Amino acid sequence: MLRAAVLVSMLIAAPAFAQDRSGFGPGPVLPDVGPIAPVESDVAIPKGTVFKIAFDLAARTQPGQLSRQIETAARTLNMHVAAGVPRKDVHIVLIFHGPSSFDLLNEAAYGARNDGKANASADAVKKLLGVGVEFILCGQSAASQGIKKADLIPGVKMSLSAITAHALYQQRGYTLNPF
Amino acid sequence: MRAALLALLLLASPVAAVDGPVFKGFGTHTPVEHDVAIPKGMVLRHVYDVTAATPGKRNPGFETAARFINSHVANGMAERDVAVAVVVHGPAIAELTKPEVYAARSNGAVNASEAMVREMLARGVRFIVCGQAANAMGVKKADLLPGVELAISASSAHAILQAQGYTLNPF
Repeated sequence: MLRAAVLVSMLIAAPAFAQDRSGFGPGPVLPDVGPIAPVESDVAIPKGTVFKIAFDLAARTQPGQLSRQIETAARTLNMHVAAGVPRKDVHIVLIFHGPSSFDLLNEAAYGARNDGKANASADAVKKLLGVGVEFILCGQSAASQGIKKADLIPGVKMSLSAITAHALYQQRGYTLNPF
Repeated sequence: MRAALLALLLLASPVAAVDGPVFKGFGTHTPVEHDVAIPKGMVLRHVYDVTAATPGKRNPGFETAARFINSHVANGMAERDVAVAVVVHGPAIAELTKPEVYAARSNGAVNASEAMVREMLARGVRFIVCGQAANAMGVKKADLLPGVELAISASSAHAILQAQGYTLNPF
């Protein structure tokens, strides 16, 4: 009965408001990651605003899929530049801990842990690193999962812990994105 | 199962919830002999993040924001010194749409959060919708209840509000 109730509630919530990405197009910084939709925004971005945004990633990405949060970070970069914020004024850091760590593994390390499958987020990670987005892995999570620095995509940084990284970046004026 | 749920609700619900003083009938709070002083002259700017829709009942994420205002005004703060924003992305966006839009998309159902949202908007609570999610759901600006704001994205709204001194509610 519970399962049926859950299913019914999902059906009620889902169909009419189903996701349709047809209104989304390529962004100006990374055209093939993080597509964006134009918005008549009511929330003004004061001139001179410098965005410093930290994302927290913990959930495991299913093999074969691009991490939704990595895509959100790319979209965040694309859409603010599209809205007129200078590229140099959008700073983004992604802080990983727990099972999300797999998103940061290089081909060999990912394959060894996932039956030879490819890391479907690796391409986006490399592209974001290439435009100055920072990726930081919790050293405590890495240690508990047997992940070494050499297992990471080049450019990914390791911190003492995710907590340390969040504290340091918030002290530097980064705001924390809640999802 | 219904009995178990009811028991759980009874256990969880506040024993002596108080109505108002700003919002009546929702956002009730429990009086507390609190130890965390609210310094005189303090202005609170607080932002909530809400994604889950709750068809058939008032959205508890929205209602928590009303409770925040009620409880602080009840404890001596001026209403104008308690600024609250609710950033909405995901299915909860539906509960900020006009009644005809909501009905058309939900087999004629009524939005149980509408009256609460209208009252909160009238008292200055900001409801800010993620433009990216709205687009993906086919929700246009004209579909939203009057006064609901649209942002480039929820991430954008959170970054702007936090840079303006809003604190992020962590749950």
